[in-house]
Amino acid sequence: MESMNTITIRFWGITARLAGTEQRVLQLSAGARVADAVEHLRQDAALSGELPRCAYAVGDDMVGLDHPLADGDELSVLPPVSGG
Amino acid sequence: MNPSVTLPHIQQQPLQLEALLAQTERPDCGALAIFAGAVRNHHEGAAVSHLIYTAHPALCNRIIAAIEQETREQFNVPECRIVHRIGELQIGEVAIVVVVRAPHRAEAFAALRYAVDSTKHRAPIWKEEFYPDGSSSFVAGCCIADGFEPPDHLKLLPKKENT
Repeated sequence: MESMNTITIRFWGITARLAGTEQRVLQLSAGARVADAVEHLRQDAALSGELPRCAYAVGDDMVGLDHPLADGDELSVLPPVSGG
Repeated sequence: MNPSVTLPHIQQQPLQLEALLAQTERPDCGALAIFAGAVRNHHEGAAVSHLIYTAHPALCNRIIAAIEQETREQFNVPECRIVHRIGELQIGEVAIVVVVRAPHRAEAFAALRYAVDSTKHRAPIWKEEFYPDGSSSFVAGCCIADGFEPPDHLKLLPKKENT
């Protein structure tokens, strides 16, 4: 049986509004990368248009799309920022 | 929505300029440059009633700390402090304070602009505007994803090599 990792997606800013929630739990195959999680999120029609402008973080570290995800990771979706 | 947050660079409580001035006082600095950004009652022609700022607290705190360090190194200024407020802010309340102290004014002004603009362009903070009719929208911001270049004046200079 294929090993699965549990990944919690944290939505920030407008992505929480578009997703209709602040977090969502995904089951992804072991070895999955950030890009695989993003591909899953693209299936959400409300979110898909915003994703090309988003950055990603695991815990407190900014990560790229090829970053490997581990079981229990929290992946943040960071839309364009507007502080100040 | 953020839970109650008090970190060195992100806080829900009103910002205290006097505390930052006291913490950064130095006898070798003749220039003190301060920026305070307050909530405006309009944006792009629309009336605004109040704002809600949210932030990824730990990541934001780390990124602002890095901006402070870059600012000190790039502009050779001994003191740079940046604090941003989150939560609900009313018109006129201060959302960000940046304090720079330097021996002379030229580097203080340049460092201040870099620190303020870099925070606006890079810190994971989101501003939601609320309008008098009760509706709201997130302010279109600056993309921090890979491949999106910052404006030229926010690109880091190459480090000087010791010769």
